[in-house]
Amino acid sequence: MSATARVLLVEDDKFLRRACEASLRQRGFDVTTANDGEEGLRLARATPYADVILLDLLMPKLPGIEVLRALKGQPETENIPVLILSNSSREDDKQQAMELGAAGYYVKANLSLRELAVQVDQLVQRP
Amino acid sequence: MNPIDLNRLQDFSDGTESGLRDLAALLATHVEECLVAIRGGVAGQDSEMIRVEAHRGAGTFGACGAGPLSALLTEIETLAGAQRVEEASALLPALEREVTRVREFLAGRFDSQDIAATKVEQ
Repeated sequence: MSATARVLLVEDDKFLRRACEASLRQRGFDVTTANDGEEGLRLARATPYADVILLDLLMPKLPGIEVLRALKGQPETENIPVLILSNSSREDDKQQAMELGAAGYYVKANLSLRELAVQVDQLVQRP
Repeated sequence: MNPIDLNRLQDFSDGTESGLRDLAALLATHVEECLVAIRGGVAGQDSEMIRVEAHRGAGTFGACGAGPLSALLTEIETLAGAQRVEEASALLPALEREVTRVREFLAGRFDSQDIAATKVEQ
């Protein structure tokens, strides 16, 4: 893993944000956080671009699905892998996110910080 | 029944003992913050605030293995979503007891002064 790989974490739940941030930092990632969709989109569009984005779906100001749609609709950000973190285990929510170009979909009730870090690591290393 | 399924908490964690300990301390703080937020919603008769905080807590604490707490918050979320604030308020004492149980369980398991010190003043 590149020691300077950048992860943008967009999550309004303070506990999950802090837990994910601590876990990823521990593994050497450079983590930036946002606590709503608008701030997340603004940071995602700022350079240097993140190598991976972790994105919640249900957030204040701008829903995660709209953030994803905006990112995938712009040449500068369309290739950044986005992993969805969601409370919803509904198949249609997952399908919508994957069809928009998400690289993965995690249901929070089954989330493992270790697995998430491994997945981020794999996405960073992908050529 | 234990207030926390430690296997699930371990699965949620990054797999290290120090990571698990940090997570436990963070969780103990967060359950208190959730309780304070819901108390605020009840005091202000703000059903939407109660619903949002209960929804968020139910998801997060369920993911960490706090099943009974998550179930209680889901019940509160449902009542608040139906504008039944008085009935949601009636569950506040049960919520306070469950938060105390979670905090004491974590403090006992991890023997941490940090966790014991997380109680937020009312």
